[in-house]
Amino acid sequence: MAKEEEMVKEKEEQTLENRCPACKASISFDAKSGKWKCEYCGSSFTLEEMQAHSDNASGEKKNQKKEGDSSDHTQYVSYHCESCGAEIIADEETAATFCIYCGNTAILQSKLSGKFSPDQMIPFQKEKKEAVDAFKSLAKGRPFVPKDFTHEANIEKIRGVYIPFWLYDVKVSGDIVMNAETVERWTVGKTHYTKTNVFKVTRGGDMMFQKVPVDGSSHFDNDIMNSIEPFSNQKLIPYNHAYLSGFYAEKYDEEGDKVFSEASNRTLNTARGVLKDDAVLYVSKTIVADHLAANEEARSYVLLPVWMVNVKYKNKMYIFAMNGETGKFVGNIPLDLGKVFLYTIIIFAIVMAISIAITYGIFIGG
Amino acid sequence: MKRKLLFFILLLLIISILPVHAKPETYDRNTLEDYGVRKNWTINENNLNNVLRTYAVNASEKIYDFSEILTEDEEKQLREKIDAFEKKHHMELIILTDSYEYPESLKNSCYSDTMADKEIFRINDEYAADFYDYNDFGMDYNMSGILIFRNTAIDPCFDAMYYDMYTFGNAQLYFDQSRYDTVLDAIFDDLHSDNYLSGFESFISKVDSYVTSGKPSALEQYYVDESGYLQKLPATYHVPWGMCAAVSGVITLIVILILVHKNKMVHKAVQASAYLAKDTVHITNRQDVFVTSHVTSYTESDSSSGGGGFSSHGGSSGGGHSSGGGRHG
Repeated sequence: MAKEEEMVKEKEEQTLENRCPACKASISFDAKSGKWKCEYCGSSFTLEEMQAHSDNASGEKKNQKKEGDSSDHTQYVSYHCESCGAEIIADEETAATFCIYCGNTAILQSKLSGKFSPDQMIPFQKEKKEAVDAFKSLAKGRPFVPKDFTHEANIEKIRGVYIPFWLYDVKVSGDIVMNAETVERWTVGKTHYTKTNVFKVTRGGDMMFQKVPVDGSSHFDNDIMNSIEPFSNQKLIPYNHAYLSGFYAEKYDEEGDKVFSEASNRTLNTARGVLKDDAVLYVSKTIVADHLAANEEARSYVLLPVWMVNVKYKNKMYIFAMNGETGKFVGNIPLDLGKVFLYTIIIFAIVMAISIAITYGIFIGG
Repeated sequence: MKRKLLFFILLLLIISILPVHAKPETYDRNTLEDYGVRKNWTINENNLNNVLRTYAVNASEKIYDFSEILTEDEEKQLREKIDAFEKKHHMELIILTDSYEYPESLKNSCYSDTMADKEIFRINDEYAADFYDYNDFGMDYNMSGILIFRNTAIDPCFDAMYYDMYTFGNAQLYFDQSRYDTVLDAIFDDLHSDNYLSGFESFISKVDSYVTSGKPSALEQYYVDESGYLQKLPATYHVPWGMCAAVSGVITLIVILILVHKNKMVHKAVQASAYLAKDTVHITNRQDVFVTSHVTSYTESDSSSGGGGFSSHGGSSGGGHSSGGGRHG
């Protein structure tokens, strides 16, 4: 215990929290209505109303980027809850969290300021209930889901998290060289001829990819974050910490330069396909030389909404995620091997019966 | 007197060591009821000549050596083997030899081997089939039996003697062309060299082994009707278990894999097509340089695929039989 306490480097954090303009109680953002709702007095407020009544809500003022603010942070930090005064410990990357004693939202200002100040964000548009419903309906159309897997009771934790993403504008330029073939066929008498023409085909040019997302947090599985794509660029709005109320938030811990390679690889793959598809006359195309390069034209740091759903089933943890904007729900579901076996037998028997019936039909007809 | 006695004794000795041949006994058909034809053939003006020119014999005998190429002792040896064959297979086996002269008109066909072959085949086929059909040969309802005919007459085209084997009734089911060829080829040397005992023994042995081994697969779908014609059995449906299981296995695997895949929703993203601004695609370099070309060809084979099946050919009697195709030698 003493050791753990030693690991926690006490560091006072200035916390931000949103309060009801009417009763000053703690207030949270409601994803469904797109407004802030006070559960204490029942009032609801738009962003403009919140900004007009609360300095805290106009996070832009306090969270301006400061160049050079990149001090080396420790693993854990503590803060004082503005609501009940309790001391809460959070890890290094946590930018918004909850007081474990009173449940009050706390936004750690320094985590979202300076170079960690997001440029844009997409507010949550899907509620927690929708994430729970999506989990409960996973068995629909999936016969191999274990019978009791989708019970709500298996959800150990469900959190709405603003995940840090890098959005890159990427320009891909250059050319590719392909060996390509066309085929002509003709028949003279009973002789069939096939003429194969071989070409050296070059296609070059440039194209822009806009706002390619790459997860900036090492805490979250990149493949899961890839799988909940896409997010709508049109839904991006300037960052405002008022939207963090009621949700968790992370700051990035992977630098934009470091993870650009992921965006680069994806854009190069797509560009290669676009150029290859442009050579429409050919039946087979093999790339023999590739001179494509991906250049970062612009980069922005954004927070994107994700519902993280932790499920415990038969003492094993499963992680699911739902795109907080579109509702796309992803995760790997365990297989019920008994059902797989049963379905295999049933499908085989049915197909076998059909194939025998077809061969008998052909026999009768023929 | 002594001289005469000595000469007589010497003559008797010579006669006793010379091979003894015996001509088969025949009957005049005009004296017999229905011309000696006891089978259900219709005798009319079209086949009456065939009936009358065909030897009428006692069908209990199995060897009809009109050419007298077998001694009585050889016939006895062969008869024992034939009896054993008939008991084993319940099928008649006849050895027929004759010097059946070819008509003068055959010479008109000598210009072509194929034509000559066909004509010689036809003449011998008619003779042998008539001999079998118009005598009381054959076992069971469709008169099953096998006959080998050695025509010792010399034909004017190939300047050779001829032999062929003929099958009647169910015996037709045991011989496809390959088996006929094997039997006829196996006895060629012996018959060509006049080693008739050895040749006919080989014949009986070969025929016995084939009948014992059962029908060749190509004839399994056939039967012989009451008139002696090969008929194809009505097709029966056999479940193609192997093919159905293979197809079902592949389809099942595909369906199961699709359903399993539904449980895996997390995939690594390798494309960024959703983020491509399509109006920014500028393809500025398009080069298509011809390098080479090559032509391949294949010609459809003229040979027709698929078997034509089997069929009997009819004799003058109207009954069906099959034959090996014959050999000149």
